[in-house]
Amino acid sequence: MNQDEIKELIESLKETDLEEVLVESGESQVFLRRSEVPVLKQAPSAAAGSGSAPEDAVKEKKLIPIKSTMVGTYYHADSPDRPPFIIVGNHVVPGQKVGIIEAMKIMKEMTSNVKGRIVKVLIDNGHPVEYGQELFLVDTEESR
Amino acid sequence: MFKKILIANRGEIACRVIRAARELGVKTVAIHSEVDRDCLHVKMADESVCIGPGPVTESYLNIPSIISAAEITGADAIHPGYGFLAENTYFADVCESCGIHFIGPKKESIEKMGDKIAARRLMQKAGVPVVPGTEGAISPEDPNLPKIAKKIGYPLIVKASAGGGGKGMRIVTSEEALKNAVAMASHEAKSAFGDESVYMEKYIEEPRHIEFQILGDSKGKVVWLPERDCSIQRRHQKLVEESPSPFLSGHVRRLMGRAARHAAEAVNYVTVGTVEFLVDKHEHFYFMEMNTRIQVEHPVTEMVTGIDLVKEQIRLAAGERLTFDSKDIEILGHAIECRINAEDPDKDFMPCPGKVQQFIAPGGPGIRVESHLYAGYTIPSFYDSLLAKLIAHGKDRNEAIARMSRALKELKIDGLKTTASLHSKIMDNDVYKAGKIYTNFLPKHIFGND
Repeated sequence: MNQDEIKELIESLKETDLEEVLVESGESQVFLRRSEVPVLKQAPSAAAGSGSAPEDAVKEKKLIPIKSTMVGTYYHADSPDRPPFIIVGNHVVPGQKVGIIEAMKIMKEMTSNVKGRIVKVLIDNGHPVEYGQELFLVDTEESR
Repeated sequence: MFKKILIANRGEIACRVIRAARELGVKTVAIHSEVDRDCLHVKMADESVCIGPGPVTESYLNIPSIISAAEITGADAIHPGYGFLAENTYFADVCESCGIHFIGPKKESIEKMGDKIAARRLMQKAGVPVVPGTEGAISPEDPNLPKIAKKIGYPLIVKASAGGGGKGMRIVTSEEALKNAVAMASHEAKSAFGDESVYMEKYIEEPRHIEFQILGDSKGKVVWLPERDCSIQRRHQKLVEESPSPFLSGHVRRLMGRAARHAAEAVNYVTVGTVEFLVDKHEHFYFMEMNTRIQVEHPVTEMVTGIDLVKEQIRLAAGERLTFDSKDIEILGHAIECRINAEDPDKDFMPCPGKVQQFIAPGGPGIRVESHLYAGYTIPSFYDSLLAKLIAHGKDRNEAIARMSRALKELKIDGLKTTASLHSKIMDNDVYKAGKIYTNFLPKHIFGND
């Protein structure tokens, strides 16, 4: 399943009363549970090798922050009714859009400067940010 | 009154503005670059916003970042301090369009005084004496040159329109040297500034630099305050300022004060500003320029008048009226300010940023210190070298000098080279103590005919 298909699945989940959905497709599985922020867990398949590391191992890894290069108000999506560009668990590559910062009525894209997996989101939607403020923590050691 | 002021500056002046705002019950926002995270003004303010990396163009001159910082903190006014964006008409304009009050004069006043040639014409129209000189550019080939020069009177100085810093300047003492001087100055101006335009002005011998503080309210009332004498300079940078001037007579003070008021009225000036004059040995005074901001040396005027200039500036910007007249002002004693810079006086004033190992501010009667220093603070290399302003006040000039001399010896800034030793030399100098100060004082009496 690719990211777009998963996003579509999330949207359909939102429109129903379902609490949980498990989709199996070939070697991989996608499990969605309704909560404040939807969290994706891709169950590792034999062919794919190591997937997400256990939670406690995350703390020992060196995490690289994605920092704001502007002063303004941070938004995690294009508009209030759209889903966030990225969430915890997503992989990002340099140049990938990770948010929007609004300053003086102008919207400017915030992009990642690193490659890796988003481990923590440090900024809430609609909150002010200063120059150099850490927005996300990225695990760059994991290889795909 | 404003609810929240963002201070678009750093260091000692930011601390000064924060103090004034606090006394007025107004909240404060400090902005800072990444290297200024530990600067004192950040610790003092109610809130702070990091607006960019070290270099000034990306931080303290970064208009979008600064406006954005005001928006996210809900500041309804911005105080620009001095330097940086304080006299930037574009910035004043942007503040206005974003619905943020710029604590300073209207942008038109800044514009009119910013253009030196236009300001001269405006002052002439307002009846303010200007240095006699040519209206516009002159040519070495102009056959009327000797006549024009004779009208101005020798000695005169040929100056570059586009420049300063001593380039494209020639002093002319007689008609014989005139044509050559104009040609040489023009040639130099072309290579230094890309513009060969030069003009001529009367050369003021043994000039004193005397400036007048003015305040203006939004109803058009302007008040002038007693002068500051800033004649002790090095390469056109002020080192010592005092109030009142040891030179000026009461009669000329009133004439100059009124001229300063007319200058401010000519540009509908609101809030605080300073009109600078050159004064020759015969007490003839000439308009030099107007500074449309709060100045570094404002504390000396505060000490001799009892007026808090920064609080007044904020009040006037908020639309309040002036509650006093020039005739209500009495000169209370004498005040002197020394600008202590992180420069090595023995190495041609080479700037020496570094870490402050120990800082002991002087105290006792009549001593005021305006500084952002503290032990453990590291001076960044990106900004100016002003460390502290030391102000001494006494019942007369002798007492102010004695107090300054004492305070300079008490002052301890370990870990850096500072200009404090130079200031001690000045305070101990007999010519200085006699009040015979002109803009050539330092090279003549301290550096020994450099």
